[in-house]
Amino acid sequence: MKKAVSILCPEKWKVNRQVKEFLTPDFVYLPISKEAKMLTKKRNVYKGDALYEYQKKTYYSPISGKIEKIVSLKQGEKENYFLKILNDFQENDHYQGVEHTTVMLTNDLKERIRNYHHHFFEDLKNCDTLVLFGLEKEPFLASQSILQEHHMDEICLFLDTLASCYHIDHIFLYFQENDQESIEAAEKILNVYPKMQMILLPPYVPYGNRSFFRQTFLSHDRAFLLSSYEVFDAFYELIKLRKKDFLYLTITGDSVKNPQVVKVKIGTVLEDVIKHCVSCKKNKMTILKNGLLAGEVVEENLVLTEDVHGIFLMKTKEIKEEKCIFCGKCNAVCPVGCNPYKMVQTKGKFHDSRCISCGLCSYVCPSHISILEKGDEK
Amino acid sequence: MMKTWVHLSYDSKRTKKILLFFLFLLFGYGFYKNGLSYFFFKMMSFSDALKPLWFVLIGIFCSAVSFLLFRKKDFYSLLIEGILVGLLPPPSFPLHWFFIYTFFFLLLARFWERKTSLIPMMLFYKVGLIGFTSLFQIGLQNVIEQTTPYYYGTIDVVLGRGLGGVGTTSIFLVVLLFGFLGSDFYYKKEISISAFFSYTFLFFLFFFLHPESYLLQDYFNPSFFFTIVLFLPRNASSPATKMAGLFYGVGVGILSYFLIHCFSIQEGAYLSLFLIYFLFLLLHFLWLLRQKKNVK
Repeated sequence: MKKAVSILCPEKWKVNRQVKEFLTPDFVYLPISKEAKMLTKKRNVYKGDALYEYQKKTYYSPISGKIEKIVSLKQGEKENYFLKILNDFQENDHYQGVEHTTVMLTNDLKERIRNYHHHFFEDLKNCDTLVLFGLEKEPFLASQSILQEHHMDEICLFLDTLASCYHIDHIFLYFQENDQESIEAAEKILNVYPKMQMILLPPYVPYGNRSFFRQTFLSHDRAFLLSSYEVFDAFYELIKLRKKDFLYLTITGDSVKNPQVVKVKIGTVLEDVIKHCVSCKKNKMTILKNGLLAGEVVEENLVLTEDVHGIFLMKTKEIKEEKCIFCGKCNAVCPVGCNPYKMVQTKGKFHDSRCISCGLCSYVCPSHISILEKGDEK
Repeated sequence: MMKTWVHLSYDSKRTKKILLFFLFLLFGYGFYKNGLSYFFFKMMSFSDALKPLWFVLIGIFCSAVSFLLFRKKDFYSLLIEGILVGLLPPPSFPLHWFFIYTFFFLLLARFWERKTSLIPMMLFYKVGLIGFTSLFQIGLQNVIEQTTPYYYGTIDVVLGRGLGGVGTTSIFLVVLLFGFLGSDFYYKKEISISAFFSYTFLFFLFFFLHPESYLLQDYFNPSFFFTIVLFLPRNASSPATKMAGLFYGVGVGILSYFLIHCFSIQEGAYLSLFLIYFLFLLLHFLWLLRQKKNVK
């Protein structure tokens, strides 16, 4: 077993399991650039309408409303462009009244998978095991756990359908030992799916890191690994035949009075979500995206995209970097055996390709050297 | 850009308090062993019995002056340094020489510290003291031991009757201190353990091969135990990687064995650490040079 560290989420940062909804923003913003290829000429769009293609990805409207214009938002030092859509609050879509929750015919679903994601289809053909990766990346996040708690039946249904389609005999569901809600949700329905087996892992960092998980727990290449987010997205698209237009977002941190998981529309500006869903303490805040061990400092005008799972509102503090005292703890805790100390010594010029950016080296550093940041600069 | 916002809380004050507490205990024992015990049996005058206390007071005074002059504000470090300095000289070391040496050494150390934390100052200080003692042929026994025939058994030596600095002889207290420091996440216990095992292995190997040449109490060399617990795992001067740390410890253990038992240098552990430290420093710079070349 490779090295891992037990880090617990402070009690006061734990989120309320009741999900708050914020699905009616006045505007949504979708990332765009000059290279984007427009797929529609209409100004009035429906929910789920394909709008444009950008970096091999098709963007769909998460709301029904009117395309306003392309706006630029200054985020950090970068200026990013977004397509602004005005919400008409009608939630019109082309599938109104049609619910596809029953299992598709095998051939029909196979065809959809072929068109869904190339890698999805290619990898599935050669695998004999499906693995649901239901572990949080950091102990401070709860979005995936909430998703599993509320949508376990859909997740299991999809995995079982996929397994039947491709003649896969084993499905393993990996959860964290302390994620009681996900475990209970799975236990309720596991007897319906004889192929499925639940495996519990201790809540260590970096078990929630995908590549670390694959290297450590999957002994062979013929296992097809899917996170709960991916399964849920695919379920929406392939079985429900809709575009998923929302995401679950953990909002917590020492500046939040009521840590919360919020269901929000994709494309909502963070500022609106904070204003409507949580109450904050009156202090200067620093906002971090997706983690406190390996997070990214962002601003309030962050546009929430599918890859945002957690927002941390932290009291602004100056992290004073001191000189390396050569304690070697970065080296000792590195779960993949790279040499973070080497990175410090070469002032960030050396970067080990094995690094999984888990942030443990910076976490244990008594001199608070941001080793992760140094590696990232490269 | 990725950032780590939370850090493992490290209470360095706790470690310093533990260290300070044990240094007080070691001083207490040194004071008893080299002064008070003889005073109670009327073998020594009261003023002579106070000598260990003077060592520590001079140490704290010199440390305080150097801290003040270089505007360093860390009360715990000041006390630790002051007491440690007072524990290191042999009991019969002349007080005036001790004062002059300590005063100038600590000033120089403070100045040098601003440039690098790589130099283990206390080790340099102790090696300087060893140089002094051999130059002026000062023995490691106290005044009474120098003039009276004595015999100490293994238990006596473990408890602290062995030869060494004023307050460095109690192996029992030093091992107890290791037990407390070992629980600290940032204490490189594996280096101490590797040194201990390599030394022990060599000692018992030769002990069983040539039982006529060794006594069991020879194994309990106070300076060796003091070195591997307090000096050897110092973060700045020991290797950062685990493997290099193990080699470092084994190197010190082996060299200590030969210096202590083959060359009969009672405080050979300090010297072996000194030599191995330079060897590893050289290797470290060569490694760094190679890394920088590779990056370019």
